Amino acid sequence: MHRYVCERCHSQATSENLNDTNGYLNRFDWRNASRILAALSSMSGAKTFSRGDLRGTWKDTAVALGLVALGLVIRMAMTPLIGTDFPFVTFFLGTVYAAWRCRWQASVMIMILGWIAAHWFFIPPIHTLALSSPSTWFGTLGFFASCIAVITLGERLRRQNLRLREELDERRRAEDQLRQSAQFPEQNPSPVMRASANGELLYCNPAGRKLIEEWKIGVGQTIGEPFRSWVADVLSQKQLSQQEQQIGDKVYHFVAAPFPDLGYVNLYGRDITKKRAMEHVTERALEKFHLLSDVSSRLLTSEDPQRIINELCTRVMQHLGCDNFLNYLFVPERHAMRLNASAGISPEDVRKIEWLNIGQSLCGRSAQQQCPVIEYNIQESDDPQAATLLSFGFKSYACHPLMAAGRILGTLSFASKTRDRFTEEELNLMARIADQVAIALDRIRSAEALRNSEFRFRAMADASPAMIWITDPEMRFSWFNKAWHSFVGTRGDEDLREGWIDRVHPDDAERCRSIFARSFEKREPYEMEYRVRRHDEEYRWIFDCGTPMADPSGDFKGFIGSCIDVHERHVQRDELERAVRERTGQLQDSVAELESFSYSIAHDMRAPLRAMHGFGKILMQESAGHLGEDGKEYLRRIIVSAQRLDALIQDVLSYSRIARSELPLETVELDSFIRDILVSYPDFSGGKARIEVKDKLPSVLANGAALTQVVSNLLGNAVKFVPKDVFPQIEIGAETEGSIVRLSFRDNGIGIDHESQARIFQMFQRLNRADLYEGTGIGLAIVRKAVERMGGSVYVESEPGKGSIFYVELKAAVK
Amino acid sequence: MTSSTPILLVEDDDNDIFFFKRATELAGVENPLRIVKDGQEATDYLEGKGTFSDREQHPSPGVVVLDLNLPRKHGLEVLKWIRQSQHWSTIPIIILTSSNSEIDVTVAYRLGCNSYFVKPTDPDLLVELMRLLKDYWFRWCRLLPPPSS
Repeated sequence: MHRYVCERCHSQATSENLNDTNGYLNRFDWRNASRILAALSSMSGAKTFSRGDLRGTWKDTAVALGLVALGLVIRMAMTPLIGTDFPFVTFFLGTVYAAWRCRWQASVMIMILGWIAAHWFFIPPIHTLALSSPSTWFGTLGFFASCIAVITLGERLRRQNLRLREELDERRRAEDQLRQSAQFPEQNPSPVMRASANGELLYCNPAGRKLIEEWKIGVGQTIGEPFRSWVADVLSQKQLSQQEQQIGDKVYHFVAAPFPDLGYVNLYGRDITKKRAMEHVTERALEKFHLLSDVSSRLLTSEDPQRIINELCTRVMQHLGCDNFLNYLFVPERHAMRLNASAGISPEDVRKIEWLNIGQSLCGRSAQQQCPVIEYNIQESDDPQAATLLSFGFKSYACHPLMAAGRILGTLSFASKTRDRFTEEELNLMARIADQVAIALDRIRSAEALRNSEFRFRAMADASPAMIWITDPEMRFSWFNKAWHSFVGTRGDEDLREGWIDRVHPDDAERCRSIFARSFEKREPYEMEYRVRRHDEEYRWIFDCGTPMADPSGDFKGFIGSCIDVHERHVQRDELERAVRERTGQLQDSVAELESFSYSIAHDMRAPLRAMHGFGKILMQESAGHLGEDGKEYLRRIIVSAQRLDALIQDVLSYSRIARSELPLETVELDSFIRDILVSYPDFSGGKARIEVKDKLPSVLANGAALTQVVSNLLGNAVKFVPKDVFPQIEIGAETEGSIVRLSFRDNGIGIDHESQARIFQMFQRLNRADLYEGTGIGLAIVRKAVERMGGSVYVESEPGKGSIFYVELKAAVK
Repeated sequence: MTSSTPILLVEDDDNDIFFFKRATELAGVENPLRIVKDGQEATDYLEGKGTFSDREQHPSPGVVVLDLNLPRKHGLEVLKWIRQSQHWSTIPIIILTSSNSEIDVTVAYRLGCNSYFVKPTDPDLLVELMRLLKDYWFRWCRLLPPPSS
């Protein structure tokens, strides 16, 4: 006996069975063989792998762009029907399709491009990518979350299928081997059998013999139904046929090749148990994928997700093979949860468990702890919180909290009366569904909160007597309250959006527009008054104040402002201002008249005084000889009194001039200024006094004439008020402190006691007897008035017998 | 200016006229003094109008000494009129007034006065002032001859 080794599969055959095999081969119909191979190919599920055609970067990119474009076109076509609602719907479906058909990169591309397209074209404000409102934020988050979930699942599924493909490739190679081994049935690991038309088993290879042990028959015996009928049919129809058969715990795929001339059928079997199991897994994954996609899509696009939770969760429950689900929603007002949706529980039981406190039962515990609670073998559980579930006959139970932004929104739980446990994958699906439901609920609650807030604001604004308006970030008016409309007599905002400026008085329009535009540009609050044409065509003054608005993240959202009708007040104010102007003018005229009158009186008083003084002096000079000593004394007193009165009048005139004249300030260089005064006043030079200027004096802001008066009065006092036999010595200095120059006049005079220092700057304040020191008591009052009019101050430091220092503080000149 | 060219004094106060006359005498001013007592008379004199039409009796002055607070026409108006007059626009005008107002000083110089003096209270100082004026205007200063009427 010779032994042969197959080069390809290294299977061995003996010369005996080879002869038999050769006989078999000699009788083999090669046309049938090609059909058998085709059937084997179809068995491998070539259709499943056709999506592999789409792989490849360029193809994925093309598909992604194509889907975005298609989504955009479809969404635009839907715009007349649904407006700006559901902006993401077509792009989400495109993402789902790409997740199914392409690699994840293409899906991500569609997701991003889809988001951009949806924002640019369908989400107000149009043609911008700004996330202008919380609802837009939530929509975006929901879209991305759903897409990412779909893409993740799609990618997992795709990888599973890739593995399947690799396995099937291996199977193809095995089929090649089978084809090869078809020539050597004895070495074929798969069953090969031959049956006659009446079902008698003519031949079985070793694998076949093992198989028929399941049927408890042997070669030469008749096979059972439905195989026997199938063999008869194949023979009668003379056509290749194939079918799957469950034999024991395995699934076989049989190809029946009829040989009508010979009156038998060759049966080629193949164990496809693993393949079927894998297909089952894939189907489950696909089902899960579709379920999640559908749930996400429905929750994302639904205006009322709370209402569709029942339907969606029932589907999930069926998919998981559960008997029950419970969906509780948290009610903050009662700090408890209320049953929102359920399945598999009688209405009576529903009523019993309608309300649940936080912490009560397993759902309450899940909400309290904000984490999933999973309970198996409830029948054996001694947990008191599982008592209710036990009464419902549950065996296993899984509850997931519905969480959004760290807040508990409710719970979602699934229970089974038959299953002991849930798989990891099933728990994962429950968690994902719970997340999706939470996102949808949060979105809808946020939107509702926003609507409520908006409603409250509008109700409040409409109830306000003030006219309130709002603009968008592009400076377009977007809303006016009822007060505005009733003021201008319009019905809808459309009437005012563009044409509001036409209602502003033409004289105020440009100013109004300019202030508004500038404030808008700088994003600064403003206040202004202008006239607006009321509904009865009367122009009314309104006070308008606007302020920029920003969202919580600080993004500028436009302006909000309010206006009030201040027409009466404005008219009254105008009237008042006119009256004030009129009265002020009258008052100024009166003051001027009074000043002129006072000045004239003072001036005219000097003429007779001068005459008194003049004639007195002439009399003294020319006729003193005719007067006695008393007469001469009287005459001297008359002359002195006239002189004093004249000095007094001159000082009063000076004070009056300083008090009422305009004193424009200019830069005065103190150094040269004071030195010029010292030169031009005879009393301050030569042998009458020694006046020293320390260092170089700075420049100040002052009025030259007034400062001359100040310096000459201070120096005059310093020279005058010295003890007898004391030579006047004066030291002038200055120091700069910040923007202030402090000018000082230190003398060696008689000094001033502390009590008198406060009143020496008042009018007619004399501290010394007139016979000792002449003076009118006005000189220092003139100094104080002049310094104050120049924005400075004057004060003295002195002690009797130790001289005085007069300080004059003035503004330093700006360099 | 010769010593016969008259000085026109425009002064309404008799006391001041007295002091002025006394001062010119004591100062040795030889020029005759023509006195008018208000602003209108001053312009009439210069124009040779009415009672002043006789130039023999009222000859053209070489210098005008002008008070400011005058009846009928204020001294500043007289000054303005003189400076705008075709005949008298170059005549020296000395303001002698009791007004120490800076505004008066400023306006007077802007209108074209040649000197501005505040009347001294002491008659001796007025004499001293007249001496100075005599030396300055009548001795050293080169003046145009009075315009012929």
